[in-house]
Amino acid sequence: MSKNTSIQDEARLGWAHLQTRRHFLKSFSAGIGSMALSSIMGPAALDAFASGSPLSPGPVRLDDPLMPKAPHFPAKAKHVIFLHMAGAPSQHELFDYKPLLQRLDGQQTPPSLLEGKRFAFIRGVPKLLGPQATFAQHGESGAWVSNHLPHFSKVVDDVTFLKAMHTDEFNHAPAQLFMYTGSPRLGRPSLGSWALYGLGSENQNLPGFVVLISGAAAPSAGASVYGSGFLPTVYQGVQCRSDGDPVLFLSDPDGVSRDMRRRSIEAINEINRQEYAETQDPEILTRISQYELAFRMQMSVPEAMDIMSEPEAIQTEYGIEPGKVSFANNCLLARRLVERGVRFVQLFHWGWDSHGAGESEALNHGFVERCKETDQAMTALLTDLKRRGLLDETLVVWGGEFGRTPMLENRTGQDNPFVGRDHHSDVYTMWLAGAGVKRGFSYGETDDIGYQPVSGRVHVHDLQATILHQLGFDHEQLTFPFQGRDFRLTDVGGRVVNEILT
Amino acid sequence: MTQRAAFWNAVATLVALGLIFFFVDPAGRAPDGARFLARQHPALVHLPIGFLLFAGLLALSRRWRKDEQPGGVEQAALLLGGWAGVAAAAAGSWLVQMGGYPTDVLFWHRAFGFVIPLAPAGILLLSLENFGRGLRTAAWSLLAASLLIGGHKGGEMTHGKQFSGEYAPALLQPILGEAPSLDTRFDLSSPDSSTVYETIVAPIFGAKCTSCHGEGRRKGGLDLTTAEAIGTHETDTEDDPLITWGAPDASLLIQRVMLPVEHRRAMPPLPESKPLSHADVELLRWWVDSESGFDGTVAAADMPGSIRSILQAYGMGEIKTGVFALNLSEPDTATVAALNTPGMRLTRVAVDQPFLDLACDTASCLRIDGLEDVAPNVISLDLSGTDLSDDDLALLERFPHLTSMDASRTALNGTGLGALSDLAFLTRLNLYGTQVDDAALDILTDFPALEAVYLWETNVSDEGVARLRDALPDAEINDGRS
Repeated sequence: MSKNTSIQDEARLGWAHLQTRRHFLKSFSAGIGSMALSSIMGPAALDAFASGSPLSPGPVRLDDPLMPKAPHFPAKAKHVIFLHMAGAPSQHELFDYKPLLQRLDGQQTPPSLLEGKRFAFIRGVPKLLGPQATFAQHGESGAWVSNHLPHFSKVVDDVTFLKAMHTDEFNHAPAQLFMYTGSPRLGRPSLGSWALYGLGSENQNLPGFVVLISGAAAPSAGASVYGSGFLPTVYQGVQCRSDGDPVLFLSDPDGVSRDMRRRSIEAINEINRQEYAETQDPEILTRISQYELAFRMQMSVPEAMDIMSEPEAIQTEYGIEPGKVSFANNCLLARRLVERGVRFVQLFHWGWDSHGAGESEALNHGFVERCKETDQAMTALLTDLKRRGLLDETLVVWGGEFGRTPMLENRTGQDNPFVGRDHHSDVYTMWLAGAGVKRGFSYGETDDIGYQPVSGRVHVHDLQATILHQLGFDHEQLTFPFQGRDFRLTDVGGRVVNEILT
Repeated sequence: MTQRAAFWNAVATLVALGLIFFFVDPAGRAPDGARFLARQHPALVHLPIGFLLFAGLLALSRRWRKDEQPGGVEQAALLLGGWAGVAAAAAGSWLVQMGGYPTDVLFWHRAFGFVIPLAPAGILLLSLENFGRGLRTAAWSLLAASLLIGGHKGGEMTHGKQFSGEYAPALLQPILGEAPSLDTRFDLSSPDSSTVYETIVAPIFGAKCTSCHGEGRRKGGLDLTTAEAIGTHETDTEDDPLITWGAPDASLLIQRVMLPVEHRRAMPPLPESKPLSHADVELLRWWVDSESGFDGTVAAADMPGSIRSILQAYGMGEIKTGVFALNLSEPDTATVAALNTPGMRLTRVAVDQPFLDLACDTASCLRIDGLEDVAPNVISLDLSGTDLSDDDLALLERFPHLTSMDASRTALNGTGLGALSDLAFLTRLNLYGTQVDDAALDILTDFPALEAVYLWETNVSDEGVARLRDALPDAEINDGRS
C-alpha cells in the first residue's frame, strides 16, 4: 500500500466517523438541535461579512481570500512598510531637540512634574537628563535631527514628523500589541492583517503580509503583533528571514521532489475540500490556500528574497551584510517585496530599550550602535523607493511603541557609566513618508523639556486610522463580526490626522 | 378695593421699582445676604407669570360676560402678580451684579422685567377709575408683550438663542429667525462655482466682525463688508498689511484674530462680541494661505486635509478633482471579471467608483479583445518590467483618462511618447530603468499636467533634465541624482 492510498483511507475513515456522529445530528434530528449545530459549524462570520454593510470592501471569497479587492475610496498607499524600532527609541536623542533640557541637565525634577505620574522603573525624584547628542537643522524644512542620524538628516524633506505621539501603555509587550492590534491584550488582528483582509494581495505567489525581524531579540509581544486574531489566519503575517531559508520549512525535505510535493499537496487539499464540504469550517479553506501559496512560494520567494542579485552599488547604498541577519538586509528586502506587490511589510529591529542599566542598553553605547545599524539603510530605503516612483504609493512609517522620559533613569542609584531614560507614554516622535503624506512637515509640539505635549497630539488609534485612510479605508467601516459585534482596528477611537495629509 | 388703594398701590410699586433701578448698580457688588435671593430669580419670575395669566383669564371671561368691574379675585391676582414681579426684579438686579450675562440680551430682559410689575398696578388703577376700554386693552397688551419678550430674553440668556426654536417646524424657522444650523452656515453645495470669499469668508465677517467693522461704524477705519474695501484697506506703517496673500502670519487680519483673547489687541474684543471659533480662524488662515483672493473658488483652492474636514462638517460634499470629477459609466462587471486572467489584473480603485487600475505582466495585454470596452475607465496602468515597446504606446490613446503610467524597467527609448500627449489627465509617468534620452524629455515638455516624472537609470543628461524642469516648474522630475 502506497503512502498516498493510506492518506485516502484515513480520510475515508474520518469521513465515516463524521457520518456516524455529525451526519446523524445534521440529517436526522429536526428543530433546534440541527439549527444550532449548523450555526456553530457554518462560517457565520464570513457569511455575515459577505452580506455586510454597503461600505464593506467586497465579500471574502472563501475559495480565494487573497483576491485583490477595492477599498472604500481611491487609495494613496498601495503598500505599507512599517519600520518598528522595538524597545522604544529616545526622541530626545533623535528628533525632539530641547535646548532647555540641556541647560537643566543634572537638576532634580520638580515635584510638580512627577505628581500623579507612574514610571516603569523610575522611583523617587529623578534628575533631568540633557540630550545625549548634538542637533542641527536640516533640509529646506529645517527639521531638527541629531548627529546620530547623519544619513537620515539628508532626506528630512521627504518625511512628516509626528512630534506628539502618545499611547496608553508603558510596557513593551502591551504597547506593541496596542500599536499593531489597537488593543493592549492578545486576540485582535494586526494592522497588516486588516490591510490584507480589506485589500487582498496583488501578488498571488508571495505572502501579502511579510514580517522581517532583526536585532538581538524578537518583539517582546511575540508573533501576536503580526497575527490575524479573529480574522481568518490566511491574513496573518509571514515571517521571512534574510539569512538561510527565507521562510522556515518552505523548501522540500531531502528526497522529496517538487513533483512529489505537488502531488501530495493536491491529495491533501482534496481531502481538505471534502472536510470543508462536510464541516464548512472556513479555516480549512485557509489551510488549502496556504498550502497552495506555500507551493507557489517555493519558486517565487527565493527569487524575491535574493538580495545578492541586486547591483553592488545598491548593496553598498543600503550597507547590507551578506549572510547575516541585519536591518539593512531587511530594508533592501522590503523594497524588493513592495516592488513585487507585497501589501504590508513589517520590520522589527530590537535593541532600543535604553534604560542605561547596561552597556547594550545605554544611550551612550547601545543606542548609538542601533542608530548606526539603521540610519544608512532606512535612508537608502526612502531614496530607493523615491527614485523608482514607489514612494508615491508606499507609506513608510518609523517609530517605537512609546517614547522615553526627559529624566535620567538610574535604577541602582549608584555611580553608573551608562546613561538611560525610562519608558514614557505621554509623548514621543514617529515619522511617516510617502503615499500622500506631506513632505518636510512636522506636526505636534512638546513642552520645553519634551515631557508633555503642547499641541497636535496623535494617539496610536489616530495613527492607525490615518494608515488605513491612506490605504483607502474608512477605519470605522473596516470591520469584522466576532463574538456578536463588529470589531475594528481602532476599537472605539481614532481620528484621521488630516493635518499631515496632502 | 377702593380707587384710593389702587392709586397708592401704583405709587408704591413705582417707588419700589425706582429704588431697585437706581440703587442696585448693575456694575456693583451684590450684598452677601442678597445673593441667595438673587439665585432664586429664575424661580421667582414664574410667580408673576402665574398670577397675571390667571388675572388675564378672569378679565377675558369678564369681557365675554360684558361685566365691566373686576371682581375681588381678579384684583387680588393683579396685586399679587405685581408685587411678585417687584420681588423678581429685585432678585434679578442682584443677579446681574453677580455677573456673567451677555449685555445686549440682558438690556431687553431687564427693560421688560421692570414693565411687568408696573402694568398690573396700572391696570388696577385704570379699571377702578373707569377709564376707557381702549386704555385698559392697551395696558393688558403691554403686559402680555412684556411677559412674552422679557421671558424669552431670560430663557435666551440661560439656554442660548437657539433653545426654543431649534426644533420648530421648518415652516416656522424663518419667522422665528433662529441662527442657521451648522450645515447651512456656508452654502457649499457648488464648490466649483462659489468663491472662498463669498461662501466662507464673507459669512464669517458678517457674523463676527462687521457690526463694528461695517459701513456704519468702521472702527479703526476698517470696513470688512466688501471685497473692494478689504482689498484697498491700508494699515498703519508699523503694522503688516491687512492681508499678505500666501503668508497668513504676515497678515494683520490673521495676527489680530490669533492673539490670545485677553490681549488688548485681540479681535474680536471680548466680552461684548462673539469670539471666532477655532474653525473660523483656520478657515480665515486658509483663505489667505491658499491665495484664493476674492475670486478663487472653493474647489480650486489647495485644500489641506484639516480644512477639508472642517468644511465637510459644514456640509461640503466630497470635492472631486481631475479625473474623479468625470461622470464615467460603470465598467461592465462581466468584462472586468473576464479580463482578470493570470498576467493581467484589472481592479477597481474603490468600491463605488467606476475607475480601474490595470497591471499587466506583458505588453500584449493592451491588445486583448474586450479591453477597449473598459479602457476609458482605466486611470492607472502598470506595465513595469514588461516587453513594452515604443510602438505599443500608440495603443494608449484608448485610455483617455490615464492619470498614472508606469513604464519603468522596459526597453522604451521614448520615441513613441508623443502618443501620450493627448492624455489630459496624465500626472505621473514612471520611466526609470528605460532607454529614454533627452529627445524624449523634449517631447514631455508639452505635457503640462505632469506632476511627477521618474528618470533614474536612463540615458537622459543633466541638461535635458534641467530643460524639462524649466518647462514643467511645478513637476517633480526625479533622475535619482539630486
